[in-house]
Order: sequence, then C-alpha cells, then structure tokens
Amino acid sequence: MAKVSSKRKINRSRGGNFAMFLFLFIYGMFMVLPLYYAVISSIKPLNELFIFPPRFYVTNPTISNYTTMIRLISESRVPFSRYLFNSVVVAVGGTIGGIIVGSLAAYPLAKHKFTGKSIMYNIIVWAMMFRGEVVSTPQFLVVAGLGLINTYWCILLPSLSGTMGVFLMRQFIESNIPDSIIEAAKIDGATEGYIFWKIIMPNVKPAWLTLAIFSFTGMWNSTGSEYIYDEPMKMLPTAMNQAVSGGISRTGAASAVAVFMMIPPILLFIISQSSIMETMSTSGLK
Amino acid sequence: MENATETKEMRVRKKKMRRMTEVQRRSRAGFLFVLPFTIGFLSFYLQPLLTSIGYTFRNVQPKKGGGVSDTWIGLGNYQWLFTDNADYPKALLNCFKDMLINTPVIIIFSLFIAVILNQKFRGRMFARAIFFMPVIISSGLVMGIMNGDTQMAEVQTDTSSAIFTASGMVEILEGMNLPETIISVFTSIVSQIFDTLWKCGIQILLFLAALQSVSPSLYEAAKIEGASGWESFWKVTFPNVTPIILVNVIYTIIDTITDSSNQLMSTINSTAFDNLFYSRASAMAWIFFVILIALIGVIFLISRSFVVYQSK
Repeated sequence: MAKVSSKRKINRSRGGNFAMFLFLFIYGMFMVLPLYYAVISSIKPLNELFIFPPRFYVTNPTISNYTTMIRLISESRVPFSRYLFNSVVVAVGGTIGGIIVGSLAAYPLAKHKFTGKSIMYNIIVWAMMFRGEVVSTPQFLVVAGLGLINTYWCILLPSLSGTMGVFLMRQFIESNIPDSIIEAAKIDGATEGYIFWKIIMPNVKPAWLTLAIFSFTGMWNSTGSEYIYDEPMKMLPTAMNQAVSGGISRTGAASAVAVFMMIPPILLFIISQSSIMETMSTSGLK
Repeated sequence: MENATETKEMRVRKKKMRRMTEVQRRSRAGFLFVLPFTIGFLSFYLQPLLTSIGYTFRNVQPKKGGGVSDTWIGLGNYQWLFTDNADYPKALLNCFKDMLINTPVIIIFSLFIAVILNQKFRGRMFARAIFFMPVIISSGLVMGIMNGDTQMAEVQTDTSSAIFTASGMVEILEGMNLPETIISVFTSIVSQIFDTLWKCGIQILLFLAALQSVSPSLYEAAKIEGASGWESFWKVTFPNVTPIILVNVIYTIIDTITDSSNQLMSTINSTAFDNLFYSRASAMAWIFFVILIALIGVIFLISRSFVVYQSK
C-alpha cells in the first residue's frame, strides 16, 4: 500500500498538492472555528467573555473557569466520581454491547439464507426513519413496564437494539467478505461462532471501529433524563448541566464544561483511527 | 456376522444423524445470532411504533387532575392536519425540499474529502480529527451550551454571510442569465454552508472506512494496466464504495429530516409536548414516515442498478 501511494504522490503535480492543501485548510478552518472559540471562551475571564463583537483571542488567559467548574461539581451532594462512573458504564457498555449485538444480527442478514430475512431487513431500514420524539411515549411505557426506571438498563437496552448499527455492519459484511471465504471455513469444519469471531469481525474492523466512535459519542452525551430521576443514578451530562446552569455568571464555567465533555470522544477517535491504519496494512484478505 | 452388519447400519444412521444435526446446528446458530437484536428491537422499537399508529386514530390527552382520556375519533386527526392546520403542510414541503438539495451536496462533498484524507500526507491524523470535530460538538451537551451562547451563533452567521457578499456571487450568477430557481437553489446552498458542512462528519468517516477496505492489489493492477489516477478512481474506488454511498444517502436523508432543529420536527414536538395533542403529533409523524418510506424504496430500486457487491 505504501508503495502505491508513494508512486501516486510523485504523479501529482506540485500545484495540485498546493490546491489540495489550500482546500483542506479552508474547509478545516470552518470546522475548527467553533471549537477554537469554545476553548478560547473557556479561558477568558468574565469581563472578556461579554465583549461585543466577540473576540477570537484572549488578552488575560485564566484557569478560573475550570476551578469554578471543579468547585461547583464538588459542592454537589453526590460525589462527581459517581456521575462519571454512571456515564462511563453506560457509554462503554452501550458501545461494546451495541457492536456485538448489532454485528451478530448483521452477519446472518448479510450472508445466510433464512425465511423472513428480507422482511426483517426492510423493517430495520424503515425503523431507522422513525426514531425520535414520537416513539418516546410508548417507549417510556415499555421501559416503565419492565421496571427499568432509574437503572442503567433504561439507557442501555434501547440503545442495544438500535437499528443503525445493524444496517451499517450488514452493508460492510455484505460488501467486504467474499462468500468463498465463509464456504472455505465451513468446509474446514468451522462453527458459526468461529466464523463470526475469527473471520467476519477481524475483516470488518474498520467498520466496527467507526461504529464505536459514533456509538460512544452518542452514549457519552446521553442524559437519560426521561427515565432517571434518582440523583445518584444521573448521568454526567445532566449533572454538569445542573452544576453550570446558574445564569449568566456561570457562562465561563459552562464553556469549561463543554471543553471537558469533548475530550473522551476525541481521545477515542484518535485511538480507533490509528488502529484502523494498522489493521489495513496487516490484513491479508482479498 | 449379524452383529457386524448391525453396527455398520448403525454407523450409517449415526452419520446421517450427525449431518442432520449439523444443518440444524447451523440454522440454530444463525437464529441465535439474530435473537438478541430481535428481542430488543421488537420491544423497544416495533411495539412502540405500532402503539403510535393506534394513537393516530384516537384522541389521547392527559386529563385535568390526572389520568388520560382516550376516545376513538377515526380519521379526525388527519383531517385536522390538512384542513385546520396551516403549519404542517408547509413544514412538510420545506423539509423535503431542503433534503433534496442537501443530500447530494453532502454526499459529493464528503466523498471528496474522504478521498483526500485517505491519501498519505503529513498530519493526516490531525486533519481527520478536525473533520470529525463537528460530530462530537454537535451532539448533546456541548451543542446545548454553545447554542445558548448567542455570540457563537452570531459568529457563524457573520462568517457565512461575509463569504457570500464578499464573493459577489449573486451578481455573477445574475450576470450569467441563469433561471431564477437555479440562483435560489445555489444561494440557499451557500448560505447554509456552515450547517451543511457540519453534517458531513459521519459520512466522511463511513467513506473513509469504505476506502480503507478497498484492496491495494486492485490499485496495483490498475496501475500496471496503465490507468491514470482519474481512471482508477472511477473504475476501482467508485464501484467499491457504492454500497457505502447507498448507506450514506439513506443516513443523510434520515439525519437531515429527523434533525430536531428543523421546522417539521419542531412542529411535531411542540404539538406533542407543549400543546399535548399527542395523537395529532403521531399522525404528523406517520404521514412523513410513509412519504419517507416511499422515497427510500425508490432509492433502493435505483441503487440495484449501480451498487456493486464484492461477493457477487
């Protein structure tokens, strides 16, 4: 792969390279501007926060917004570590569980023949269009009926049965795994479980690592506020929001919280993207 | 002697049985694989979905002093939507119009970016992280805090409109004697460029995952055959990412149309949760759902002729 790309690079003219760089740079500026603004706001002292028009630089940087954030959090009745623990359990559990459940369902949908397969696949695609607020009342009734209110399960279980993951994994398995490799494994006596864990999953690693990023980002930000009323069971975003929603004087602390909440998804993104690179250079399929 | 034949027969029978159970075991495995998802899906999505159809034919409202009143009114809710309600038909129309404009822009753009980001250059990791930023920012608390920050919104609109006026694009377009509709489509794309580009994060990542799954040997073969970069994009890269183009088109349509900030969703939301006309809101959602299903069905039919699956 390295060989091919390096050859391609020689082929491209210097002007083309420059145009590409310029384009990426301008587009990248668009993407980064709000983030930059959030970070800058989080280190502005109060008097600079309210200057109009807003400034893109800070004259007296301060960490007081972060210390206020920590103070506000530590003042709460339930310790901060508890909220953090709740969110980590839900985000990690939901991500790993969601990938496993989704891929398990996606494999037969992509590669097996059974009655009702196409109906099931169609229902999954249709159901993706119907997320959101309108199902929320009946969904609440189900969650309440199962006695899951104020538990981790009320966020975990609905997310495990999300349809986006199944659809995505099915599409990747269908398009990237040749039938012949599964046939070969079956002839050699591999069980379905073995085929799934040792052949399918390693070969669609880029797909599920990508899914892990979205899923973690979604779960990390989920508040579960419809289902959770018990203070020690509340999620980190809810707790953070409660802590900083004290009107205009908390604006600085709110920006600090925004920056803080962005860190875990960004870290996961960097880790998973760099391991996607590794798998692609070592995998021997095709 | 008799004993020996019996054991032979038994062995044959045993072998047959093992083959039978082998087949059964395989189908059972397939079934078990789908089972966890199916149970969750039926109880948390399908059942609520069907319940909400029922609501559209009834009037379900919380009563004063607790409890819920529930009366059968047939098609009353649908009638109300298109006769007594001015917002809904307009919101529905606008929503689909926006989607038809935005989807191709987002798809082309994110494929383009993904192809660039898939090449080797210094700082590639950093560049990718930047393009994924909007996905992290636009979900949940972070966006909530930043939306509350009016200055932030100011910065965004100022930037887009500055680009717009500075380039004098409208004058150029009018000078070219283009039809009014084309100019209005174009200006709406440009004025929403912030929002549109911000929606590309997931699509870019999906395209990247697809591009990374294309085997390098195909490119090598194309190179040996003397294909140029342009040709190898259309003959190798493009066919290999068609399944993910389909995924992305569908994802984009659903994402733009069910975005809680759009006119349609906010109409549904306020009907359900501010005015507590829960059944009317369900009827609104079901109408748009049926239109969307029809649209996605058409897209699947079209996709059959150009999506290339590796296994076939």
